[in-house]
Amino acid sequence: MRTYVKFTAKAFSKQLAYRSEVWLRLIGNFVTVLIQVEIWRAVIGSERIEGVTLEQMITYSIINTLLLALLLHGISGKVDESLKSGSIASELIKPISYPLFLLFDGLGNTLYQLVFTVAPSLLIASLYFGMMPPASWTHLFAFLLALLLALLISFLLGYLISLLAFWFMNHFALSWMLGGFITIFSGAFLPIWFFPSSWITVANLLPFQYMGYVPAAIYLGNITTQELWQVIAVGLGWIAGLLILVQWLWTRAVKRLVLQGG
Amino acid sequence: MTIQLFSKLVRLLLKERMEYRGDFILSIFAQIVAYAGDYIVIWLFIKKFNTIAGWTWPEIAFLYSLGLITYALGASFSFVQMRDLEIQVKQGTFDSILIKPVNPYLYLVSRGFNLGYIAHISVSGFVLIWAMIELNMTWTIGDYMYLILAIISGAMIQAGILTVIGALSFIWVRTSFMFTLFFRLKDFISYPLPIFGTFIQILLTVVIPLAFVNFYPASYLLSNETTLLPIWAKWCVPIVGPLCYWVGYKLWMFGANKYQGAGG
Amino acid sequence: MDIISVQGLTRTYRQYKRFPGIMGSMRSLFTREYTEELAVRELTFSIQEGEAVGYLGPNGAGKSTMIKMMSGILVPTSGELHVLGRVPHLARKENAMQIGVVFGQRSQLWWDLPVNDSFDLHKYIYKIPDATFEKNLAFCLDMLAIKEFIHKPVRQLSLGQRMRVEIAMALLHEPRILFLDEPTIGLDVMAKDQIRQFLRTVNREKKVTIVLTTHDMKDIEEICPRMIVVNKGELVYDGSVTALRKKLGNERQVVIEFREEPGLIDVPGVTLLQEEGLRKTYLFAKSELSVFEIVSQIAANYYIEDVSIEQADIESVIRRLYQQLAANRQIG
Repeated sequence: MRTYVKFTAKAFSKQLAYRSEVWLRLIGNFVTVLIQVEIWRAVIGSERIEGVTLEQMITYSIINTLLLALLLHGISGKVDESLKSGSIASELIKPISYPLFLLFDGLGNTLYQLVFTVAPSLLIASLYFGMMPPASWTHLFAFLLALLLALLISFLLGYLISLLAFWFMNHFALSWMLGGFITIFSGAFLPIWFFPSSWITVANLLPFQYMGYVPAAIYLGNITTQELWQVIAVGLGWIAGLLILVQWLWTRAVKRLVLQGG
Repeated sequence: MTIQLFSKLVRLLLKERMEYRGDFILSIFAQIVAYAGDYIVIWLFIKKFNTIAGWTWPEIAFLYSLGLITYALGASFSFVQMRDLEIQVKQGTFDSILIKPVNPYLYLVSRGFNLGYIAHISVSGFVLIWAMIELNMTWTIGDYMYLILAIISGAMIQAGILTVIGALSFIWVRTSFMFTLFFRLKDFISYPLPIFGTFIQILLTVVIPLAFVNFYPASYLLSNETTLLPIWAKWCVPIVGPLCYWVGYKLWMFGANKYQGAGG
Repeated sequence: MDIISVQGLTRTYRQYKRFPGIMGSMRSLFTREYTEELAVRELTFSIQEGEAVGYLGPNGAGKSTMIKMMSGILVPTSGELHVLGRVPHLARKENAMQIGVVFGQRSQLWWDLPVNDSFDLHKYIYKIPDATFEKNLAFCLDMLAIKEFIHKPVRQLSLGQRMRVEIAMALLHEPRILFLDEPTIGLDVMAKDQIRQFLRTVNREKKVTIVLTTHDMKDIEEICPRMIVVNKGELVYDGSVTALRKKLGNERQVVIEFREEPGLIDVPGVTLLQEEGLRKTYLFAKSELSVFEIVSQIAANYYIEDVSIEQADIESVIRRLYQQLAANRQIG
């Protein structure tokens, strides 16, 4: 376990070299939140739409935007890079689990973003736009759990794409395609409670809502305490399902790799 | 740079893409899915709220598509070329262009002409036309001409800005952060600008004229008020583009001269 | 008529102090601290049309800078430079039509496309008439034996094949001057031979002026009757190869390991360069006797454990040249 934590630490310190780009990300986050907030202000104003106020939407936008910075996007890119540079060979030879290595490495980046981007952005955003507190202690606790779920699901999806890239040879296109679905069904901009009912059904059949909507909705209390544990259980179910899928693809991919002579 | 040379380059670029046919097709498909996602989110939003600042779904679709198609056209002539200029300068591959009896800017831009934007153009073009039909506008030939000029101008504005950033890589060398800033600012014009307040609207009109890319032309064509510019400024739109592009070009050539003088 | 004329040419580089980070990039807008490096220092020489000149020097001597200035890419800091009767950086486009440049380290070919596509594009860029293009192409195909792989994508070619193609392409528009920047670097012996032979033919038969930078003495010997040697931006030698060889060419570095300390070896033409205990490096000047005979002489008087012989490389030839220049300055 200690070895894996070392990977996290290593990735964290590697990112420190890019400290100068932090301010750029702060501006980026600010602009993204600003755009969303103004649109909600134009559309909701001081009313309640389906019980949702502007203040709630502002908090929702802030959470979603900052969560995006924490999710493990770079997985498929990293694998692709390793393949191209050939370093994949040395990484696979090591007596460690490659996926776990990727996970902990990605978490290092997440930690870095958390400290240098998300924390300051959160401060700036709550000062400028105003941020609501969590609905209750239970909700806060569940929110943190949901964050973990989001991280794991984003990792598994990224890893899934890397594996698929073994057949399609183009991780970038696959990532982009997945991104299209995530744009809609993660609820990053439009919360799922505003979806038409048929779309809500589809969203519930997909794991993407855990990457934005679910944590934010839990935080705001729009998911009640009764529903909370059910939602988290389903999330865990998704993780299990993705794990199985990923494992199966991994064995197929290794076979293919061996067949092609590495 | 002649038309023949340009078409020859495009033919070779296409041939190069076809070498990796499967890849190319996959990318196109991926882009369509990705942009469909963007459109769908806005569509779902408007389904719930009916309008954004008075703009209906077809009007928003028109605005957004105008932004996307102008970006795709402009970027195909500038983005990747300017982004990679930094590397070319560092590695000295830019010299290979200076050896040739051609205008280095035109050659760089043509040689790197990006066919990959075809998906952007298809999707946004399709939605643009759909929006125009939905809106059932009674447009004159003049209006159609205006639209075409606005698209060309909008493309030139963005290509011009991207060229300016590229020109900076002759002087500063580290420019990738400026591209990110550009894309952040561009996010604003996907929506009706007045909702962001006067400051943003002034910023995007006078300082970095992105508002002329789609907001002002769409406002004029859809007869919505533009709040900042008076009616007679309608014909400023087709002028801003070439102006922007000219400024970018001049700055770039200035930068290239500096490269030759100050050393590579 | 001088096709290239260089007079007191100087080129300095400003090395700007780089500040780290984004605040640093902003800072460098306002404060500009720099150091000046001299890449080319008051160079003077001229080249006639039809000559083949080798441009030699160790790394950092300013060779690439000189090529860039002559081809119009770089602007000299001071001095006069005329190529084809024009100032290169002012007449970049006109000169480009009559100049060919081959970079040893950088390819100008399209990686994924067949060779002849790159050739075809070249034809369009340089506006070569069909007949001229066909004629030159045929000549290159034949002399460089590239016909067999002309339809292959460049990525499938070996380095030697690629280099031959690069040189062929540079000649398709019938340039009057051909600049080559380290064209044989990294090539195997056969490929080097082929290219040297071709360049010699191109120079002798087609009267193309050739300026060739290289590290490899053999390139010079095979192609260029004249050579210019630079070191740290300064001209060190400008003259014929045979003259230089007479002066320094056949020096040898010989390392002898003695069994016991021999003391001073008094053999004419043998100079001690350095010693590490019993292991001594000598410079054997050119002489009537072969290295073997001289070593035998020494062996007759001293116990020798081991001998190794190295041909003086270009670096030491140039260093010797430079030392001589400095020595001459001190005397005269």
